[in-house]
This record gives sequence, C-alpha cells and structure tokens, in this order.
Amino acid sequence: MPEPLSREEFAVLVKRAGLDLTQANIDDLYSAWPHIERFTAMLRNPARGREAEPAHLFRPLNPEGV
Amino acid sequence: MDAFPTIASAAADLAAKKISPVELTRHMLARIAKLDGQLHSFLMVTEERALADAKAAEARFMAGTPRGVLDGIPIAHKDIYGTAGIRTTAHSRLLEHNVPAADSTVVRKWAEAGTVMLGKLATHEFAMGGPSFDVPWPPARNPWNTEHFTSGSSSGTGAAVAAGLILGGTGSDTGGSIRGPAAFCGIAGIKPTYGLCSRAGVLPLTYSMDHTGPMAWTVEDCAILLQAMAGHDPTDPASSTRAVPDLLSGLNRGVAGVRIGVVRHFHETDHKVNATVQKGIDDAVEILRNQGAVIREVTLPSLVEFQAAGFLILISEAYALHEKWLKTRWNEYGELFRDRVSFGGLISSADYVEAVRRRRELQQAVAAAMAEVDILLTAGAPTEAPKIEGMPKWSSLEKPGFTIPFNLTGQPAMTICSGHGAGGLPVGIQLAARPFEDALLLRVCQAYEKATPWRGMRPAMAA
Repeated sequence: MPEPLSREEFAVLVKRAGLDLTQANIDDLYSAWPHIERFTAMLRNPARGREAEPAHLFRPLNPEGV
Repeated sequence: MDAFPTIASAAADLAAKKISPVELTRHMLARIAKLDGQLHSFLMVTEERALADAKAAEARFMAGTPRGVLDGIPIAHKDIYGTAGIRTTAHSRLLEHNVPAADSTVVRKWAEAGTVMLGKLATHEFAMGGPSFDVPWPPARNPWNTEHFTSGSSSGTGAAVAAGLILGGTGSDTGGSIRGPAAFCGIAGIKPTYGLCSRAGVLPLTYSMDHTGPMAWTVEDCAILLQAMAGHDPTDPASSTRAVPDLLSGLNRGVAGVRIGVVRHFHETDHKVNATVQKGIDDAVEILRNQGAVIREVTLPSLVEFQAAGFLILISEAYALHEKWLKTRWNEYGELFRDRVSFGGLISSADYVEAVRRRRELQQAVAAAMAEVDILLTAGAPTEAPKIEGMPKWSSLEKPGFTIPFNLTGQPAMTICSGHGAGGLPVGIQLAARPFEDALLLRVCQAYEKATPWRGMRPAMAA
C-alpha cells in the first residue's frame, strides 16, 4: 500500500480538482480519506494481467443507432 | 374496505365495485393528511391531480373498460422521477424549482396503466445516502418509530408504504436505495435486473449502477407494479431488448427443487449481523427448506471487495455528473452528499478503471457461483434501523453494506421483512437471482412471505 497522503498533499488534490473549500471542509474530507486509500489499494491486483478483464468494451453502433 | 388494502386486494374490491377509485383515493389522502406531518414522506401531495386521475379511472370502471389491475390504484413517485409540469427536486436546493416538461418513462407507463398519482416522495439528496438535515425538506421518518431512520435513499417510499399512505411507489437503487428502506421499514422492494426497467427521465446518481424499481407492502404487489414498469425503452441506452417476462402467473408455484445458496460469510464474518437479523435468515432457510428448496452454502468474494469497487465507481460517476455544480454551487448542496461525492474528484482515472475491471471480475465470480444455485440469500441490513439523529457521517465507509454487490452485477435482488427486533423495528432478508430471472426471485420471496406472519403487522402509529 502506498504511503498515506499528508494533509498538505491532500489539500493540493482538492485544489487540483477545482473545489473551493474552507480549511474545515478539507480537514473533514481528509479525516475520511484513509477509507478511500484503502479501497483504491484493494483494487490493485498484481496478479491481474495487463490484458485481463477489459473494463470498457467499445461496440460501434449498427445502422439503426442501437 | 380493508384497513390496509394492498394493491391486489384493492384491485379486487374495485373490480367488484365494493369501492370506487375516488373513495379509495380520498381514503389515502385523508391518511396522508393525518399522518404525514410526523413522517415527512411526501415532498408534495398532488391532491388535485390524484382526484382527476381517480375520476378518470372511475369513469372507465363505470363504462366497463378498466385498464387492468392497476387502474384506480393510488401510488406516488420518488422525487427523482420526472413528472411533467410537477416539481421534481431530488430533495435538493439545487433543483428546488425544477419542473420537467415530460414524464419519465416509468411515470408514463404507470399512468397509462391507470394509477392515481398522490404526489412526490422524499429521497435523500440526489438519491444518495442520508439522512440530511441541511436541505430544504426534512428527511422521512420511520413509521415503526419516528425517532428512527428509514434508510435510503427511497426513504419516502419506504415510510409511506409501511404507514399505509400509498399502496405502492417507485424507488431507485444505486447501492441499495430500494432494499435498504425495504429492510428498515418492513416492506417489500425489488431492484430488478439492470436494463429491465427504464431510467429515462429519472435524475441520475450514476451512469452504470442506477436501477429503477417498485416498492410495496407485499411481494405480489411488487410483481404487479414491476410488470407495469418493465420493458424496452429506446430512450434509455441501457434498456434491454428482451421480452418482458410474465412475473405473475407463476408467482404461487412454490420453491420445490429451487437451489438456494446461503452466503453465510457475508452476514456472519464480513459484516456480522445482530441476533434478530441472524434469526430471520436462519428461520428463512428452514421455511424454504421445509417447502422443498435445496439449501447450500455459497462462497463469494468478501463484501468489502464489492464495497471498494462499488463505492469508487459510484463516486466517480456521481462526481462527473455534479462536477460543475460542486465547483460553483458547493454551499447549496447538503453536507453529506457533497462531501461523499467530492472524493470522486480526488481519485485518479486509473483508480476508476481498476474499479471497473474489478467489477467485471466480481461479476464473473458471482456468475460462477450461481452455476450451482438459483437464488442467493443473505441479510438485507445488519440491524434494525438506528436512530435518525446523530448517525456518524462516514459510517457507510466503515462497514460494507449487503446490497451493493448486486448493483455491481446487475442481477435482480429483493428485500422482504423477516421479523421484528428491538422496539418492534423490522429486519429484512435479501434474495438475489441470476440476471433476468426476476420472476423466479419474486416466486421464492412470495413463498417465504406467505409462510410468515409479518404482513399482518403494521406500525402502531398507522393504525
């Protein structure tokens, strides 16, 4: 699992997202951020090959638009 | 008239002309006027529209041309379902004055079936989580004890059905928003197979996990409502082109030979349920076994794996929908919605893609397990409803819920009442079937419901 984000690094993420939050808002979100880090880490599966489980299958529309 | 008519019983009384649609509608409007001040299940009561609908239904009955079993039946819609000329707010300040020009497909289909629209029902803001106390309307209260939560987000539908203010209503379910209120309010609610019912005209929470579906007092009533809302809709790109299954003719066929897989680790290890919920599950297993079902134990990936993929997909897609307003109108949202969804702007595109890849793997794991069973059985919720005040803000992140697995897989899942615990508050079991086997799911739920006494018990405040 990667190093947890510091509060300052988290604030940069918020700013990059374009959210204009107060410090209290940022602190509140940061308090729950470990849950999100836990979830994102859980989804990284080193055993999953690069080609495995395509997330999105693109299918061209037929002439009827379906 | 029954004190608490169901759709099936009211339809029989209407057909026999024991009551008229106008009498039935006035009865429901009187109940709303008497009780909803305590429940807040309605955001708007459309009395004039309801009486007009009822008079039109009455004319059809008098002419001998009723439209079917739903003609003259009073219902209401969750306030994310677009209703032409009638305010549709998503329980949010941002849409406080939103009046759609057209009905959503499901609203139109139920209207064409002859239903009487009583009004628009409370949700949680934009159909996510809750409860919130900083939005323009209060959250709905649980009729079994108004100090307790209804769950959400189809909170108004759950409360109004349980209290006998409506005979059925619409819900939507992205992570459990039909099945959660069904468990906490002691009613029946089905999240149909993804694509069976149109989402067109319904305010979205996500692009890939939203389902529309019915909620009612009984399994039979849910089947009646679902039959009228299912079907291909070319205006919803996710809509299935399969023929609508017959959900009613086999409803009472029983469960002999049906293979039921109990996902014991979900409710005994992954998120241990309380004693009342556990007893409800154990009793359900015995009831279904005694009726001829074959009971097995099934192992699936851990609940937390479904939670991780499901939550990240949900917040990513919801953030994409709300990004512009979160950047410009942050303070107009309720705190709970904006804070949860904002995480979607903070994770990476790779996180989202990995979540969707994991979704596919989870879907395949469940499909493989269901090669050996026809139905899955687990909890609908871990406990009875908690008190509505003082719920921890991030509690939904701490322990995984029981419902989101089937939003990820798209298969049909239903929660029904399985008993009552502390203070008489109800608990629920959840059953799921393979995709497009909604009829089998309803049949198994019906067999359980008919063998238990729970449909004879209503909240004391509703008497």
